[in-house]
Amino acid sequence: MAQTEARETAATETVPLPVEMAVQEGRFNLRKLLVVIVLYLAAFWTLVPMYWVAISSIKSLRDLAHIPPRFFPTDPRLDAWVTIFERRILENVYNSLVVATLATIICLIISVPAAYAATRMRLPFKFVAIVVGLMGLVALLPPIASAIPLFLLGSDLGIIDEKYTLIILYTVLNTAFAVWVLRGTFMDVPMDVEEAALMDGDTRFGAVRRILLPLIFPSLFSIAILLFIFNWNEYIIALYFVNSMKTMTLPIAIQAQIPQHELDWGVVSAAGTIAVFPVLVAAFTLQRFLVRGLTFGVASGQ
Amino acid sequence: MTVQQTVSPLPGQGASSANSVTTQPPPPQGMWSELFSFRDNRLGVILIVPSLLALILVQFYPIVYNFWLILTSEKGEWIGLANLSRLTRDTIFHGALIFSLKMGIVVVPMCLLVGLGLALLVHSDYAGRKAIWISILIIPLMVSEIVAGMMWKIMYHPTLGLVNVPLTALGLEPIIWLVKADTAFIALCVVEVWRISPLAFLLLYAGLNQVPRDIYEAAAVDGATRWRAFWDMTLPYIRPMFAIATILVFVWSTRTIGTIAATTQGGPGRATWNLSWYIYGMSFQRLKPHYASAAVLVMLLMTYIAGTIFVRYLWVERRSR
Repeated sequence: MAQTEARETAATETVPLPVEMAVQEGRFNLRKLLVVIVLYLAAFWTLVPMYWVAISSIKSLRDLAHIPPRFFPTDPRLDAWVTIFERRILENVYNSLVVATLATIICLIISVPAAYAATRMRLPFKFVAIVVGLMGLVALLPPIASAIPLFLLGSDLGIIDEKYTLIILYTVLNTAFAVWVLRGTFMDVPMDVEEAALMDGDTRFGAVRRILLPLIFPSLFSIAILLFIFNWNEYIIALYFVNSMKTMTLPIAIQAQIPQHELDWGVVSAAGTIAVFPVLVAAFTLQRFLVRGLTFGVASGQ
Repeated sequence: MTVQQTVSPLPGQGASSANSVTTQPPPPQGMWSELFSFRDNRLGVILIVPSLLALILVQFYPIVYNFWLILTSEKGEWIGLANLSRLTRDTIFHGALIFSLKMGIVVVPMCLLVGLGLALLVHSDYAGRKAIWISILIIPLMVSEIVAGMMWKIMYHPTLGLVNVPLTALGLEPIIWLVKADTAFIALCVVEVWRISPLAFLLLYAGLNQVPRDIYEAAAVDGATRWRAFWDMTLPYIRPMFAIATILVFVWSTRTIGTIAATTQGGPGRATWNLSWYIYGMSFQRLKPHYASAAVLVMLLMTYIAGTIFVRYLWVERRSR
């Protein structure tokens, strides 16, 4: 079914000339087969480390020690999962969840107005140019470049190893990116509708709430998911700012679980599975939003 | 009033070149700003200020502070350029810098090739449900660096890992990837290609979607081959995207730290120290943040120089043709 659908859309999209179609018809199937085979290989290459980790987390010790390694576990066990929960991984999940969610929300709260102002209002020419340009520029700066000064500042203020510090830092670290992407989103929405509402006597805020926000909601949602994933995965800042279980987010917890030599791989595999799972769920349930958001995020500079 | 249109996200790029490659029409901003220009200034500035403050706190304050750190000793005394001159004699730093650059040189072309290939395949009419392919192929982008490194550490494990299975099946000796300098480099490059090539894929796919379809029909009428159409029409169109992808892949691959932390921890010896790992080690483990800041400066310069080069040679059309 998917195939016929694809062929139909392909036919309507490209509208090939009859001559061209006739020429291509003969090798159509071979080409398609090759493309699909390569894509399956690429998907395999993408997914196999994840599958391997998930499988390793439920392998019994005997399976783990088996040479060559088994692609399917013969005797699945949940020992590693029990251990990882005993090591209080849920506290790390909770920390990550709190930090990532709050940082995402606050980031949107400060960046949506900024993006609105940058696209919909008449501001001093140079002001907008400079601010927006710089926001695009800083996306290239490595986070580790800010980490040392921020860490020293944090130590001076005595706010290392606090959840709110992480929330503040993640918020501000993502603001430039969020404004940049949102600005692109806002520019995509035609302004006629909003103008019409304003002409009809609606207030500016009313026009935003009733007209603009519903229109950009899908994009806003995808950007929120994206920011959440960034925060959920953030590693470098956490490396500097996390000292104890109180603030330890999932990436740092996983690093702490990596065994250097012994065969204790089941536990860290379980932790890794926990870290990747929400992201995978997000990827598949929100695929349309996400692809749009990601593409937009990186391409909006155009 | 199309200010926002001409502002580019990248340094060193002229407004005229941005316009020459942009296919979208400018937004209908003129009428809007004429209608509602009154008294917008103050509100607009108020709306922008919070994010501006955020920008200052995390981006500009650190950069300025970095310079102060570089020019002072660990005790806070003014020492001029001593930190930088020490850095030029630091062989560990040289190793880290060279490792970062080597990694960039290997990983960037690989990622671009893989990304471009996959983008072309998914973009082709044979790919079926594109959304599904895309959401599978970009999964590595959504995995944390440290988790990616951890996954690959298991993959490379001499007994647990999958990587050695084909080797032993062919009767070869299994390779203990992460304990020797050269194999560890290869292994890390593979991890980086796995992690970063989806970024190139996504960007180039977005670029391909901007190529108007009808030019291919015109080319087909004129009897152009597929290869020729790709070389003369597709590539020029996706060139800006190609430049962005090159820069971002370079930046991502040279700044990586989580994959190294999870796999080799800089070992064996110091063979896999890259710039980020060096900066982290110096500032956090050896507690020399002032000295590490000098390395940060080098890293920023490297990013800037690479960005400028890529923009100049990839993005901007050569006019002297």
